[in-house]
Amino acid sequence: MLRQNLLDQLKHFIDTVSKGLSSPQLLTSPNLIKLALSFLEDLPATRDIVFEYFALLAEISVQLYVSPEMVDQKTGMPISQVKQGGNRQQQLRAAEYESFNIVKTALQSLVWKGPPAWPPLVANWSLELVAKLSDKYTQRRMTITASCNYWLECSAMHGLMTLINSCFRKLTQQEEEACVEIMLNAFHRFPMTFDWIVARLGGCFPYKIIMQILQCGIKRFVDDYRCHLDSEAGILDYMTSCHGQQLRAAFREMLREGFAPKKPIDVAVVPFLLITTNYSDAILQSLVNVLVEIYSEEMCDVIVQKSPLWLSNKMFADMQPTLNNAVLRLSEHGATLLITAAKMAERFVWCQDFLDNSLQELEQWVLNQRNFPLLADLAFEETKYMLWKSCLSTNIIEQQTAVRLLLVVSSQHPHIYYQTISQLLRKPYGQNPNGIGALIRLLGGQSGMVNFPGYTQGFKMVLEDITLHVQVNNRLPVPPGTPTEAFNTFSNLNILAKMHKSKNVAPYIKAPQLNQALNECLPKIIQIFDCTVNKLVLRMDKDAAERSASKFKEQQSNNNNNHMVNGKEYGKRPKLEPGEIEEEQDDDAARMRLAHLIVDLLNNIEAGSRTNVLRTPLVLKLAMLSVKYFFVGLTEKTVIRRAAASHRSFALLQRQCSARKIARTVCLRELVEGALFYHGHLLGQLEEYELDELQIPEHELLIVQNLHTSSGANSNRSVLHSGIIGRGLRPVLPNNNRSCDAEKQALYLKALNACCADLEKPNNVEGYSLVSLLLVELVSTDVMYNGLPFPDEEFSKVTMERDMQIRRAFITSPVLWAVLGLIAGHRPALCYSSVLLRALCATCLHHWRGKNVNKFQPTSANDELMLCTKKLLQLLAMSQLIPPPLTNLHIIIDQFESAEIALLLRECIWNYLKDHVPSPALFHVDNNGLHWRNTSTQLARVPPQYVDTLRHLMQRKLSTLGTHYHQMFIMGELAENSRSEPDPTGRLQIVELE
Amino acid sequence: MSMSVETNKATLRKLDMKLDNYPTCAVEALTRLETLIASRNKQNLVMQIISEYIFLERNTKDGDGRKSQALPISQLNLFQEFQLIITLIEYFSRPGRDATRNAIFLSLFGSHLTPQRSKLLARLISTAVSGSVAPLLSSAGTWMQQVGCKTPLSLEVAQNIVSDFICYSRKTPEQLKQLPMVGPHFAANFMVSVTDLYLNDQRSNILTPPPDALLDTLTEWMTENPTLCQASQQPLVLPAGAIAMPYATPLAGLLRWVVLAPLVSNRASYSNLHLSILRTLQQLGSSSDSTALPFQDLMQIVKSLQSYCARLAESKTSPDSDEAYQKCMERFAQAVQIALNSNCITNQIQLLLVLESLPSHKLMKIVIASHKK
Repeated sequence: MLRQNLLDQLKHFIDTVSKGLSSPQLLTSPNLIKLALSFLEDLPATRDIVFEYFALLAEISVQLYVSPEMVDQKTGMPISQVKQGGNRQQQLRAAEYESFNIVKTALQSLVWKGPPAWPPLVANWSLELVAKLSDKYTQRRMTITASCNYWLECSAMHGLMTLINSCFRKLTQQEEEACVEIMLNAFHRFPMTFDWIVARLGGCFPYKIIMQILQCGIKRFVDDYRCHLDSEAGILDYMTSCHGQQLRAAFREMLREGFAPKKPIDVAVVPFLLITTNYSDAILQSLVNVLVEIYSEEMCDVIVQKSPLWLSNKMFADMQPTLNNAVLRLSEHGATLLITAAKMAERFVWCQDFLDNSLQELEQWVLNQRNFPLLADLAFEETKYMLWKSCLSTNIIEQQTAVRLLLVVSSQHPHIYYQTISQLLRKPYGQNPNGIGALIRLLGGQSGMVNFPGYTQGFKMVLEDITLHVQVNNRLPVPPGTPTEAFNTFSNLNILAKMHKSKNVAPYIKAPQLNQALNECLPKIIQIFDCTVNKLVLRMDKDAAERSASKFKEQQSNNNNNHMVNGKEYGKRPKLEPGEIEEEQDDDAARMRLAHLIVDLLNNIEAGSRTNVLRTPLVLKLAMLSVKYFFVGLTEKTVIRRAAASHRSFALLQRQCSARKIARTVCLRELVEGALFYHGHLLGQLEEYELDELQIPEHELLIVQNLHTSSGANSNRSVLHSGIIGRGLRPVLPNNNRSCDAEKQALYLKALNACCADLEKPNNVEGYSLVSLLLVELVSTDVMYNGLPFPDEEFSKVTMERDMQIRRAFITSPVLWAVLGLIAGHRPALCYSSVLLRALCATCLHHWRGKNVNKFQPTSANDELMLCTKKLLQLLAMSQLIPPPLTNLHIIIDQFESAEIALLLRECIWNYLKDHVPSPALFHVDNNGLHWRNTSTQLARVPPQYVDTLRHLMQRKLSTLGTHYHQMFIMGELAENSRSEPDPTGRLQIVELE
Repeated sequence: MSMSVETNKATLRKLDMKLDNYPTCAVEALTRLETLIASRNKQNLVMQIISEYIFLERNTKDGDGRKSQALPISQLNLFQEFQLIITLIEYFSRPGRDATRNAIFLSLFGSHLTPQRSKLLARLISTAVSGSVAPLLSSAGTWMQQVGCKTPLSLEVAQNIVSDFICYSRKTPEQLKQLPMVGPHFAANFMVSVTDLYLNDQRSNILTPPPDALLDTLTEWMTENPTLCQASQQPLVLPAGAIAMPYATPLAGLLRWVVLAPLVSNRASYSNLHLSILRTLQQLGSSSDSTALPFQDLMQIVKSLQSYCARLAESKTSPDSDEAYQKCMERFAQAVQIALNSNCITNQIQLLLVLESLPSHKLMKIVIASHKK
């Protein structure tokens, strides 16, 4: 019955172990280990001693691990990692080192498969052992991660941790709590060396451990506020990586208690948590995450209310300086935190201090090129949007904080800078004028930063966007009346540009830079401008076409009643819905405002001036657009607006034209062409409606009409009806019922003048000459005989047809007279239009002469022929192409009979001009560059043959023309005499007597 | 007297009983004790030798130990403890007189032990069970009876055996199963202790069922050794002059288990155990000893049932409709009937009165009625 064998084994075991305490080789013999393991089953009383033996084995293994004996000479790594390596002795000892593995495997199977009593026992034993060993053999203080790495490399330690882990999985709720208790007790005993174990094992029941650690920490903190919380913080930090959620839950719980303190220890919660955050970024981050999550206005009040309680803690009272760096250590929610503080800053001074310090520190770090987590937070997409929103806030502090943060992040991420500028530019600041302050501050950049990104990119970005918006209409439905992004952008840019002009207002922006940047964006601006203006022009043309069509129809229906029915249908577009029309009008109005803004901006940044380099196509485009804008501006509804628009374009035109010749050429050509062909209706041009030939009834065809004329009473005449073949008679022009609008014409002339005027050389007439030449090119239809000289009067029959056409051009486009008048004022430019003058003169002469054929007709004052003649004479006089006595001819011309007029035109005007070719050579250039024809000198005196006809005719009508005669003939000679001869009157008398 | 102690000690020291020569000195001390123990007036010396040479105990503050009445602290480490255990087992395994052995055992482990000694005792007994050391177990059985089976010391030993052989064991070891054969006296006393540990709402407020393996083991013991319960009635072999303590049978405790078991478990083993108990009770009838089921122990069962009924009343359940209660009462009634018949219940009349106060049960009613006459 007696189990002698078993007792012998026990004896052997006890003897061996107690003898072998100093000899690891004896202890680690596999037989002994197997024996010990068998005891667990066969001799349960020995459990304690067997475990003690196992502990010895583990210690041997750990001893070997830390001893230099087992370090591989070559690599410096513990031998465990290089299984095959090591010298002979090391290999011998490797068995000892690994001996614990057998134990581990056996115990693990016990834990998994054995009765439930084992796991708690093994867990407690392992915990104690690990704590003891780690305390005993830790040679220097390491971080938790380092400790983990170091110890888990050791096979025995690793085995023990594995055992603990598998035990924990088997534990019941109660046993678990007991284990946590044991762990924390061990932690209290060895706070320095046990932390890694807690951190490592905490993962098995994270929330419990975290909460317990926090409670431990706070207890110590309450006892001594200067205590070091490295271990606690270390554990929390380590656990955060995997169990952030539980940590946050624990924080939430603690904060709840901290904000509504019930126990005395609760008062210390907030100071404690804040102190803990000093130890680790991860903890800080978690705490902030929780705070941001639970923050509300009410909570803020609670904090304010409760803070005196916390202040009783000394640590808390001195803490603020450390808090300032805190925000820099956040990689999430940092910006949110700052913005929240900024929102409150008006109420609490400490918030301001906090903000100031934090931001200063932040900027300092950026200046020093240091990297910190907050930057990552700032670069988040969500943060960006939040900051943009804050930039628009009416709260100045919030706005400025947001701007400063954006500036900080911009230094590292230029794209954010660009995007921000682009975003802020397109916001309206009408309601909140301070809002633009953010933009201005932002454009100022970060002072002291090298390589801070420029804002040109930002401008380009927003302009690119707007181009799309402008080109593609109504991408998104917007409520009517809201200003478009394009409008906002340009109005903001305008404000900026204007501000920089008045320098002292915006010290942030360096004036030349903004200008330069905007000029760099000129291609984009011009593109937008192009799009806008062209749409406006299209609209304008369409309106004009519709208007003239309806007018023409009306007239035609008056002429031919039978066309009424057709006429109504003809040429009408399908009617738009009223809503659509309104919308379109809205759009157009908005577009018009945009155009004004763009031009304002162009003026403000002095686009197209000589200082900026521009590529030629751009120059041309800008020039053309400027002219188009001018014409569009004329369609504005009120006088004041028209004037404002025109003044804008004047400035624009003038700057371009005086800077570049090519721009002037284009501007002038566009202006003149526009007035004559494209936008003539604005300047009182008489429209000729293009009628479809098929609409002409057969009996009205020109050929039929002419056949009628050539038979009957008038058949002896070869008078034919003029008209266009296939279209019947020329429609009767709606005469005079629509005279040229003086105001618009004046604006037009000013525009021309703006183009031609040379600010540096006021007497330079180059521009006017150009206009003159252009007129010839555009009005005269022939390339032949466009020279300056006047031929014999007879020869004018050759060019009569062309002359008639020129004359007609003057009739349809009355503005031509005004243009010529402008040119006439700037001698000798009119000379180049000699051919036009010739044509006018010839046709007038011809017409006056034609009047002779029939019976006498009294000429009415408003007769077209008379007006034309008058204007011609006026022009000639103004441009000094005819000498003094003749210069007054236009005043008295209506006093003469048509035959007399014909005579005068031929003898005095034509002949004089024929002999004195109107050319620049006639003019003398004075020191100022002014062209002047001194007609009072002897050389320039009018030979009598050109004047005498007039003199005789006037003498015959001296009763009516007396005063004029005196003025024209006698005064002039008097003046001349007084200048050249001692007795001018005598000379005059002689002439008179002759 | 003190002189003689000193001289004795001196002679001891001369005989190579050096403390650093452990455990040889313990072996030597044991042989010395054999002679000393016979003379009754050397108890003090015996105690000193045991303390000093066997347990290596030292008073905390050498000189002032007696004054401060501090418990002596053993210098034994775990290995030495086991050396001592082996020594003791070897000593007890040697042929010798039972009386001497029992006397030495009782001297080594009295009724008031330091925690260290009681721990060692538990280990010693556990080892003896593992090793089936019959003489030692026999001494242990005597010790239990002398100390009292339900004293904390005995309970600690019992608890330790349960955890060693039941809780930490994958299957019940053969040694435990054969315990009734190896040490019937010890086994019986162990059962008394162990029944007190479980299903006892005077220890803890709730009824804790015994581990299944333990129940199975005890059932097996009872079925295979019907006379086991009488084992404790064997006369003790004690040194001259010692008074034997009254014995206790495990029947009362086991009956409590069986009766209360339906309230917490419905294992089949309880029925088997119940049958064994009934058989044993029946056999007891012939031996005509009326102390097998003390009235107090039966009262404990009644109280547990009463408190259960009180809880039933709280949850508004009638005891009649509660199956568990019915089963309890059935078993109880059967046992009472047989026990009354075999005349092994003390205070019969009182018991019948108490039983009547319980919520009525058909069988119980019949039993009471038949015995009230």
